[in-house]
Amino acid sequence: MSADPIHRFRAMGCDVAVAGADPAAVAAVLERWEDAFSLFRPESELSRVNRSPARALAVSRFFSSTLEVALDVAAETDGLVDPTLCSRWREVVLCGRLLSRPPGLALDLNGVVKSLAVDEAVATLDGPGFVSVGGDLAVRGPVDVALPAGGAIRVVAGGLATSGTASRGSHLVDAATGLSCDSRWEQVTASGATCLAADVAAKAGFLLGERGPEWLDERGIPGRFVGVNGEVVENDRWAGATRAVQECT
Amino acid sequence: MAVLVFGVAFVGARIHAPGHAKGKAKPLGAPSSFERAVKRSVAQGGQIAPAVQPPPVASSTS
Repeated sequence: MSADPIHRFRAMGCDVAVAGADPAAVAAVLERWEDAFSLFRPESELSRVNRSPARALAVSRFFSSTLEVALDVAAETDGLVDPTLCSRWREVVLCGRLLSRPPGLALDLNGVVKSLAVDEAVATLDGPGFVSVGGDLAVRGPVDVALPAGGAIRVVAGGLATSGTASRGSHLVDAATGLSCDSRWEQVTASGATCLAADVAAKAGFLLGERGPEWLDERGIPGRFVGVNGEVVENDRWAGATRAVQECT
Repeated sequence: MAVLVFGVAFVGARIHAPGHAKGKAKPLGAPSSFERAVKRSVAQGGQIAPAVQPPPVASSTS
């Protein structure tokens, strides 16, 4: 990795670390995403959409493209990662910039916004470096990353994300029940082609419980699972990627 | 006479080769597995390897 200094600051309610990029440029990217999608900001577009009593309304291109990603994610994960948090994502219809959904059905795009912001921020890098927001990161060039419950991994390309209950309690909702998820895992870390892919995989792996490692293996996604009892389980893809170099040396 | 011959031939042909059973036409469409394969997948694995240096950053829940 480059010898660039690591800049650290707070944004999107998280600790941010940036290397190889102008921190002000990264901060501006993150601010734009937060301004549009933060549920803690009453005037964000998402807050206004959720408040609107209209069944159909026009949204910005930025909003529609992000919601389209969130709906794709819901379809890809069979509803595990769901922007409605209550298994009603199929009732959300997007036609260009026209959004239609049952009045009162609130959207929560936390499942994709932070990782999309990271992916956009890392695209501003001219050379090697990384952008990490709350422990979800994307790299340009190899970066060594510390893992939950000890150990480290080298992210050669793409992104890495961790999902679970460890730092803020149970903030993942099981869309099928609408209740906080009670998984056998405390934290799940996944490697993705992008930060978005990693984040979606980590969330899905966490919510799937016992089936998590196999579900990620079926999709060619390396995953590392820390159980509530402290055990560490690596799926086949993760174990294969971290063992290959060791066997050659 | 020609019409009579045609009619007999037509009926004979229908009896001899009644044709395939005609069911309700179904619209052509790609199988869902194909659509899923070509659609941009949001779940694709990245590339990892054993760490070789002290890590400057950590991955964790937030």
